[in-house]
Amino acid sequence: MSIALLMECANEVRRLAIAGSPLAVGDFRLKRLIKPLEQVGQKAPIFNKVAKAADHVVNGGEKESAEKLLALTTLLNAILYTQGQTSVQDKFEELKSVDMGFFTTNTPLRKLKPLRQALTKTGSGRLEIIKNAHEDGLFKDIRLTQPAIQAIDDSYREIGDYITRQVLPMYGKAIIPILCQELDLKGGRSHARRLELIYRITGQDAWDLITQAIENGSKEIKLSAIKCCESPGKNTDEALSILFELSKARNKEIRRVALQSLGKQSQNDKVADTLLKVLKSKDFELAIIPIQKIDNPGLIESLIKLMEDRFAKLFQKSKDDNLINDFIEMLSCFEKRKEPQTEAFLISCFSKIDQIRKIKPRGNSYYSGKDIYEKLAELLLHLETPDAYDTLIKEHEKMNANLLPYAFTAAILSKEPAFIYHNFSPYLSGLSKGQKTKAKNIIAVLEEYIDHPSISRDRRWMLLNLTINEVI
Amino acid sequence: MIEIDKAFVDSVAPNANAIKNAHALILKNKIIHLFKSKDESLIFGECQGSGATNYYTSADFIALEKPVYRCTCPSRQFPCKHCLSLMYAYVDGLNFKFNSIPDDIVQKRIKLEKRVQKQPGKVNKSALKKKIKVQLEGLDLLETLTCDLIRAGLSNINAKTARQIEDQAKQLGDAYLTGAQAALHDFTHLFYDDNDKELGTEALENIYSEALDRLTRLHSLCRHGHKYLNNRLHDPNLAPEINTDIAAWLGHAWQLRELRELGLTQNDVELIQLAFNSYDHTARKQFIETGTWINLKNGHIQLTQNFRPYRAAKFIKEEDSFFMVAQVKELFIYPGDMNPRIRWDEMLRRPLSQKDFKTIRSLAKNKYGPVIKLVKNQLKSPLADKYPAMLLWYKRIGKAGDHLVMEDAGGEQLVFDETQAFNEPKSMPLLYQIPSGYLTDQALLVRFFHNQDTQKLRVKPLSIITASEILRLVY
Repeated sequence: MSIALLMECANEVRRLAIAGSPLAVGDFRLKRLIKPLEQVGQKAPIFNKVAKAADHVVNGGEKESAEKLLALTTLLNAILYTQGQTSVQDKFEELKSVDMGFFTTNTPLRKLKPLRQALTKTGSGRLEIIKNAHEDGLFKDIRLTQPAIQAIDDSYREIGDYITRQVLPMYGKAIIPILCQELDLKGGRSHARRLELIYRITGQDAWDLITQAIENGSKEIKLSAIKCCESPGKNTDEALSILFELSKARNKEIRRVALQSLGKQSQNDKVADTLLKVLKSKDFELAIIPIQKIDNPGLIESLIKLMEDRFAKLFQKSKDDNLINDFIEMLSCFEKRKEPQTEAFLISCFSKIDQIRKIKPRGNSYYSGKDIYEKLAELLLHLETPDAYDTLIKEHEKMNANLLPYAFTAAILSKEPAFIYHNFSPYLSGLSKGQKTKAKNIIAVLEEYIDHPSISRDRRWMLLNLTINEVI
Repeated sequence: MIEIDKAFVDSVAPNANAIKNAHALILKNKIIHLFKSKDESLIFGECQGSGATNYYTSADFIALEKPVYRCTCPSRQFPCKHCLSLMYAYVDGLNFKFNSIPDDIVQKRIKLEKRVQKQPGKVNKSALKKKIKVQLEGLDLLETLTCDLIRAGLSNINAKTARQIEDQAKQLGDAYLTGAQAALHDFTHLFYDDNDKELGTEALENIYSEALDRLTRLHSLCRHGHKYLNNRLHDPNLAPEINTDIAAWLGHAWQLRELRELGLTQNDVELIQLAFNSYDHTARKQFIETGTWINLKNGHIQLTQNFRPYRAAKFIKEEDSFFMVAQVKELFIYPGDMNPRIRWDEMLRRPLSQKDFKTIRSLAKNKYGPVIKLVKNQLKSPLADKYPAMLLWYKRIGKAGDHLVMEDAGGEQLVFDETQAFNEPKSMPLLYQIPSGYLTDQALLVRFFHNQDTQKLRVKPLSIITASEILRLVY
């Protein structure tokens, strides 16, 4: 059977149906097929039927053109439906499937379909559905692998992050080929998620990809790759040299992430030197977070020395308007640090309360000695050591309304009820304007700690007593 | 002893929300006074609702194949959330005390027993003639519409005009031609996307062949419909046609009684669901749930279909995937092609055994040649189901060039393709994620389709049946 002829005829009919059946009347392209159809029809009579139907279309009137064209289409389709090709000529090859290790397809549609829609469509309430499904273990159903991978690109950022961090790692290496195939090193946030996921699943095996991403990737990809350098495994040396280089990059965001990754290598003295160098520079804020977490004795020593110098400069004449702000910001390096050296430094600074109070704002700067003092009080309270608490409590009489809560909190956390009552109840009976603010701030601390789980029963009674007295 | 489990209660729930609400009632301790009858055929209890008095709810398993769910709440869902929570409480092992069956339930049971099958009323011939005449007028309208569309050209149809045609299609519903109306909706539905938006140029180009095929189908429906209705008009005693599904195309809603009278039933059948899908047909404004089952008695692949129009969707049970064996005493089979629609009124359920998997696998067709011939023979008829499903055995699944193929023992191949979406999720990528052992010597449920543009007959994989499980690739 001459299928090519029939297909050509079907194509002409399709064209005419799209354009409108009146154009079929006298259509020369359809007309020129009638003769060949008739010729083949001598051997296969069905072609004669087609030729006749085509002739009716071409030589019929415009009025009945629609019906004639539909009749011809019906006939052609009926024949072509019996001629559909089923096989291909190519050689058979085995399919390389990746065993997921586990799989199930026993999730009923009523559970699976809403989840699939939550992963692939838009709208509110989807994250909740996804979280519940993950808790119920529904993602073990292999039919969810593709939609879950697709959700990496979800327009709602939280879904993309949740899927990448919580759900997809469970599929393990089975999804790596798909992730690698879809990964675009010049891509945005969703591709950065892919890179992180690949590294999380494969670890060292993806090291080449990480170095390539740092070298050629977009900014998002680069940042993601730098984060991967935090745990370089056997590639530590190479990772460090990359990070050192990137800590000098032109882009500030890249420098920030590189320094944070370097901060994970606590024991490396070169890292400590680099961080200290940055702390001394104009971009010192980039070094604050890594320094907060780093555990290197050499660095602590140098840091305290630097801060002592800066502290001394506060009392000297200087043209630097930002001296106070910078010092306050740099004090943040001591957040989360609890070594004795830190404690000693903070206590020694705090003991100069009278001098610090006198420091006035410089130039256009808003900050003054009061802010330094408040920052020091905050850091001392977070040290959670008896000496730090005592330092705060000792100065409570000199403190203004803003600072008093630090001393009072320190007392609640470390002193006997009788001591607290004796020293702090007078604040609650103040009548003058300044004293009223102090009383208010004390009450605020009371409200915070009265139900605090760390507070014992006796202490709670005492606090209640203080509150009741104030009310009376 | 009532043998129900959580899966059973899930499966009888009308929808997912009812399940959620029922669990919430248990968590809030709203379900109180739990009882069971001494013969353990009934569980009943009280549930606190928003009203002053409690709702009295019960689940009656006196007839295991057709449990009765009762509740005094005003809900139109059966079982309602109160009855579901009662059953979940029973399944969860909460303490149900023995108690005598309440009088009203005893009365209701007696009433149910006495209920006699309604005798069919006499056919009002003049009314039937009148109806047929209206249908014929409706078919005239459809024919005019079809011809107008082809005259104006498919390129003149867009999302807006498609919606206008749908408004006209309402007249077909008024003319008792709901089947034809649905076919017209299937045509118009091609011209807008799931979000009701206009299609792009490329997408439009891809649907023209399919659209033309559907138009020819409407045209054929008009021709065959006229012939069939005229025959019935001249002979009102003539029963609806059962050799083809023309009656359903014209909107005949088959009653179970009619099917029984025409001998379209099968007794004591066991069925296993191999695949399932639920689809929101925005043009028809209804949810369509289709189950693909294998009849263990004769190996036929048959379909259950549940239509839930939007306006009544809440009150009609939402069907779900079914993972057990349905034991059906009387199976009703609609007139149709290779995969006829089936229904049943009562059923028992039992878990699948190794023997069942063996039976299913033995029913798979080994040679593709005769199957392809059979399928092509069906496809050539304009009003036939264009997407027949078949259970086939494969020697191996692999690649041939860029294609994924399945091969029978004789080396004949069928090529997988899912460019035709069927409103189902993609299943082919899953073939890359299953152990290699599943890729040889198994049974596979496939759906055939003929690609109009390439003139190729392709298959979409739906479910793999191994010796111990059914791997559902869709739902």
